Amino acid sequence: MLTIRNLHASIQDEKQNTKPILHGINLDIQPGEVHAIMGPNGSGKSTLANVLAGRDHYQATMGEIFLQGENLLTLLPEQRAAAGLFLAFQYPVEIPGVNNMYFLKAAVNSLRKHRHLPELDAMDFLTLIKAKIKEAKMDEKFLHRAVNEGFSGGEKKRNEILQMLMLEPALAILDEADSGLDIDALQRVAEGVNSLRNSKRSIILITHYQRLLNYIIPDVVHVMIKGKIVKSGGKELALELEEKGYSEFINQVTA
Amino acid sequence: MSNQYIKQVVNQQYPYGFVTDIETDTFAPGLSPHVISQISKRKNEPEFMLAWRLRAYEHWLTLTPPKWAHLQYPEIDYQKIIYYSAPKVKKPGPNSLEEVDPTLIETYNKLGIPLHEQARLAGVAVDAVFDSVSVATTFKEKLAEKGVIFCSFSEAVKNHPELIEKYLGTVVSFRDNFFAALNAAVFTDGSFVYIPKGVRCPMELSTYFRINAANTGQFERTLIIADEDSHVSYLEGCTAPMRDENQLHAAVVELVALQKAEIKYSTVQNWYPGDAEGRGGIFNFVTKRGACRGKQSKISWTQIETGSAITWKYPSVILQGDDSVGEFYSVALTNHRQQADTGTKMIHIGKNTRSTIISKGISAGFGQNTYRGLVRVAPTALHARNYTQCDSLLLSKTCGAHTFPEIDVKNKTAHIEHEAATSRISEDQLFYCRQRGLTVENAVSMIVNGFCKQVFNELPMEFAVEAQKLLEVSLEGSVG
Amino acid sequence: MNAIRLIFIDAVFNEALSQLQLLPENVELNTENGFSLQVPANTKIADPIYVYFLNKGKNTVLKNKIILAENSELTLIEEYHADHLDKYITDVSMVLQFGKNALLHYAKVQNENKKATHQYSMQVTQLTGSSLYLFLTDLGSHIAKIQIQVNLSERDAIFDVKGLYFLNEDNQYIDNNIQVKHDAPFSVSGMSFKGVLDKKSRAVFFGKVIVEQKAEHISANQSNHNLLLSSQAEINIKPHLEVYANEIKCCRHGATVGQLDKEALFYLRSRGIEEKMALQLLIEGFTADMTNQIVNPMIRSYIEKKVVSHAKL
Repeated sequence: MLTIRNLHASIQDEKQNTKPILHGINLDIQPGEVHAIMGPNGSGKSTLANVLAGRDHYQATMGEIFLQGENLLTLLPEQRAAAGLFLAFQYPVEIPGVNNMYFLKAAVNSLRKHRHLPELDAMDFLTLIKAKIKEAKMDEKFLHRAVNEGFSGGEKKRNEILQMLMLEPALAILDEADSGLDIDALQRVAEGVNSLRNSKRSIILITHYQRLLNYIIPDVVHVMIKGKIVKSGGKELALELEEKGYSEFINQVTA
Repeated sequence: MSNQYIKQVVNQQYPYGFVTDIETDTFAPGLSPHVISQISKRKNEPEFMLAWRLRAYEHWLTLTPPKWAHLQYPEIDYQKIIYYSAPKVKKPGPNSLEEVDPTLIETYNKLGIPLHEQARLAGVAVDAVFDSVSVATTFKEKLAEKGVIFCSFSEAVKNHPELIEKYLGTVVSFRDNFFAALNAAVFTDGSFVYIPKGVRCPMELSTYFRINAANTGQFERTLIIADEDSHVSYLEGCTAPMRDENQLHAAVVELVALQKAEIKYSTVQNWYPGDAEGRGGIFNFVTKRGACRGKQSKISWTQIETGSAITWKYPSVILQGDDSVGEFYSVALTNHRQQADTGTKMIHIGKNTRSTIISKGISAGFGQNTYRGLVRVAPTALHARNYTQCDSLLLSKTCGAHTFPEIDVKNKTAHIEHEAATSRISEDQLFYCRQRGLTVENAVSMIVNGFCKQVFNELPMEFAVEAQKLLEVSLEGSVG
Repeated sequence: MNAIRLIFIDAVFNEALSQLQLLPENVELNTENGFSLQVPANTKIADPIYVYFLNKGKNTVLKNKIILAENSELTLIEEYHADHLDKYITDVSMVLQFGKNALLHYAKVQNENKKATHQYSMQVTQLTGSSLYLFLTDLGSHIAKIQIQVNLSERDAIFDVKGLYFLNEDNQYIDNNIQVKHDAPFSVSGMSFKGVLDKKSRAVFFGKVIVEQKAEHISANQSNHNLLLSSQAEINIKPHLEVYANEIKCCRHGATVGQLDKEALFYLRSRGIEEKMALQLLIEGFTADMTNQIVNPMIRSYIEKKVVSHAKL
């Protein structure tokens, strides 16, 4: 599904200063697998997500990324989306005045066009979204509000899940999906993600805490420190981290 | 937006740029008392009209064109403009659509104006002004049943001189400004609406303006009177052929709302904006003003300004009646070399008067977009309230967005709030849309539409769709 | 206040009352027709300089100037006052020149008598990384005309002006006219004023921010909030913004005009606070929001005292 080879990446700020963040990431994710990437703040987890999705000012300086055989680094953000990559944002963006449903319809049809599928007409779309919004356990009124505008933190995260359910990505990356959520909201988000798990779809969970992993059980856990994956293991690794904290790993790296 | 998004899409041509080949009755260029009396004569006007026109002309001679606007354009030679050009008709005036020159009807069809059956379907009564003369007013009988008068200005002068004499120039005096004086002297036609007491106009009224002939100025005048407790929604659309030289459009619109009356005036202004290098295009110098004369009356202006090389207009409301309401909703887009200096004035005089201003300016290409507004609260206007929001969106590195508001309060019970923000499209929003699979162009157009939503919401349904499309077309090639 | 005092009486420097000895030696001071200060590079003057202009009846013309060389820092409070109640004119021109990364905290307190005409014009030039935090407090004068022109000609320059004006006499008039030109990227400007107007007074505020094409990534904010206490008071606000650059962080302006919140007033009175006191509390709340934002603690406490003692109804 996803192969990352020796990825180095930098962030460029508006004054054109570049700051290297990722220092040689290697990752292999098979179809159907759920990988958790854990690490302390500033370890480069979110940078990795943004480099994968092709955000401006996040530059891969070395290495390669392949998603289902496609070289992601040559693609525009929308082409990466068409290739099956979905990023659930840590801070979903508000787009005033743009109706949530209208936005989703545009996105769904844009992706279908890329994939040479016929566009959904209004009726089919409505049927689909009504089913999905039930699945996401969201109120239909969200469809008629502007994208994320005035949504609470939990509502925004659930809206991300709704979009994910609608767009049915091959690879979903959830950037701090649990941040700012109470336990109920967290469970709902987890249910949404779990309902998407199947043998063809892969998921990357980016998280600081182990908490989310109680609800979405990962196949593989990676520990990321200072732009490098320092350890990979099974789901037990997350528990170990919870117990011991990151300090041991940080010491390893700095030692 | 970062450089990598800068992507020039081939520009769609202005779709209304055709010229209709039609026989016209046209004056030689130039302005003089003689020309004015000829206009008045052609229109069989009563004495008082000519006298008024000549007074306006006398006054105009004492004025100089206004220079205060944030606009740059070459001086206009008013002696080179043709002040009267009318399609030739066999009979003195068309009594029904059948008598109107079929080429004209075809022109309106090309413009997508519902003149015939479409009119009834759409429930829109249409008056169409071609160059200087009103050619057809559909749906007259149905309106007449309710006592609504909707006709060309010339007809109104002929058939309802008492109303004209009573209201003409009472909201926009010819002394108001240079272009208002010029208009009063030479205006040739326009629309007239009178809604009687207690009548809710059964359909949207609509006027389409078209400049066709070369070197012709269009000086139309619209007067809408909503008598007590009446209601009317009026739509105005405008287009012009593509020509290399600039053409002048100096219209005046006067609205009068009596007690409890409501006038909703919507404009989709799509005059020819000139080409990408700024050649040609309409100079749109328009004075629009409404007077809320009666208690609890309401005047609402909604405008979508995407056309014209230069737009100079400030649809305003004078809130005289107690508890009256004024509104101004505007989207102004300037692309290429277009310039717009537009906004509103809300003059609070009566008690408990309220006004709302929502202005959305979008600048692209080399466009210059200025919001200019005045909120004035007179000492008499107890408990006046105003809320103003004027936002500007910048889409290129070479455009400009300017905000020149003024708040003038002379009553302590006033409550005034003004907010303004100028920004470019946020990279976060753009990236979010693209991550969901939208192209840059689609994302930009979606975000811009969202930006304008509050204003589009004020438009009648069919106009809202048109406005949205217009914006997309006008934006093409501007993403960068 | 622990400050270095410079006293002028009718525009004439009074050495006896001033504390020249406290002024660091490398600071150049000229006291002809006002003061002219020159702070050399890398000099940080710890104590604030307090310049006091006392009017004893003469019309005065002052030409003040502050030149801050690279990396220098200064805190300055300037106050205008009179010991009589006759008419007079104070005419001040101030030139401020900032070297790279220079920093000035500058408070001006205009506390002229209520018959005075106070004219003040300021020209500011700022180089890379320099910062000016200016606080204007207008408590007195019959007519005050303030004109400030700022040119942010190099990157990362910060110009921040805040101000309070109080008008409480018939025909009292203040005109603030501030123009900021952003001519370089990453520059920041802020303009934030509050006014309290009583009786038949009139205030004009004209703020203009121009963002030139090359001035990318700048941010510019303007706000103006006014409290009208009398039905005859008048306010005229023009917060103008001219933007020619695309890549701007944000340019905003906001303005409000209103009267005291009746609900709040009633609430306070229902708690047993008499009306006059309640009014005063609310006005203090309105203005405290402004003084709270003064970065420099010495200036903040000085201005707070001035404002509180002035605002007593």
